Amino acid sequence: MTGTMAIVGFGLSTIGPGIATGLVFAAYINGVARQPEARGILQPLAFLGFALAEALALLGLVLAFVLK
Amino acid sequence: MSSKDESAMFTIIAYLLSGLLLWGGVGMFLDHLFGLHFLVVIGFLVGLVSAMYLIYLRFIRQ
Amino acid sequence: MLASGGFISPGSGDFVFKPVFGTSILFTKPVFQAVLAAILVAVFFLISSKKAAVVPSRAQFFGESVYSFVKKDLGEDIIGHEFMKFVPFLFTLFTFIIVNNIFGIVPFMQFPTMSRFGFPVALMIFTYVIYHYVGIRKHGLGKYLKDIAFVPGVPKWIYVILTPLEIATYFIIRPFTLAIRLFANMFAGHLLLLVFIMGGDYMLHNSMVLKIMSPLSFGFGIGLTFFEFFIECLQAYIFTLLTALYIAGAIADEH
Repeated sequence: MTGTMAIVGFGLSTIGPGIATGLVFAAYINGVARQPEARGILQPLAFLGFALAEALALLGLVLAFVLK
Repeated sequence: MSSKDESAMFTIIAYLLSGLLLWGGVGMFLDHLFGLHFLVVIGFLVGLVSAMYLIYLRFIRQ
Repeated sequence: MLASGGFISPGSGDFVFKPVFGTSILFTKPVFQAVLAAILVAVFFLISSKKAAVVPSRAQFFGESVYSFVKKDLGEDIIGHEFMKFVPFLFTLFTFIIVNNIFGIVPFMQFPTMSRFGFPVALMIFTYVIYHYVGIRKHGLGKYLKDIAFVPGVPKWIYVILTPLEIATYFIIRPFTLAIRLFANMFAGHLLLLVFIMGGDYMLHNSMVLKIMSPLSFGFGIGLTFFEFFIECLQAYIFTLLTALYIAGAIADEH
């Protein structure tokens, strides 16, 4: 087999952010479904959590290509 | 999920990716220019922080 | 893994086709598929709308439900009151991409056209030109660029860091992630099917233990084919949805 272990590392590093994004939006949808008027409060929090989780996944992607 | 939410999700990913690629690329280029090895890491951090700040300004601050 | 036994794992080489005739790259299988998809879409909707009746035939009903799905869910709900101008473009994009994607699981074709990177890029260029054009025509060039490049309400020196980021996002990264998302899904899905089917085939022609295992691999291949059908429809929807979102963002009053 040929290839680099960095790609395997990227694959592993996407598991955490994948779960985290799912949890963030599950909680957001739950909250808005129970209390639709709370959307204004929940929306920025959901985006903050999503951005923080997604940052790790994209950092993994970029580092997989940079690190030799 | 309204269309604003969907649009924001995809734009957040684009901001983070372009922050990392742009400033990480600048760091990499400077590394190559001066023969250093640590500027690419600083570039990634600057890109990540500035992208997060931009997301805060665009979507989180009311 | 089974390098000693000679299993050749599928790779990006399986996506390169020899020209059917001649030497030009214009006469390869993906190009013919794209032309065939365009003809199929055009002929189907011409026929199904030609004999439009109050009590619709089955083809007319199918065509109308696809059209009203694009018009309502992708046009009206997202773009807003100016949506009617963009419905022909969105509808063409959606039907063309979905037919091309489904070629990936049609027997004897079994190659999703969009897994060659050039095709999504061509579609992306249409989207790119259209959403910037409508944005500039709505707001004027100066205001459109100013809205993109300068976030209001931050100290002046921070623009040194933020403005290149905004320009890179809006003019390079966002359109390219649009094309890459479609390309990568089709590429990876086709590769996954190849791994399971070719692996099953290899195991069938090997020792007894592997022969018993091979139906498992073929079973997975068949299951993944149905999964692939779902992904293909979803990606056509996502591409059109993002196009509509970009147009909506360009003509919105404030970003």
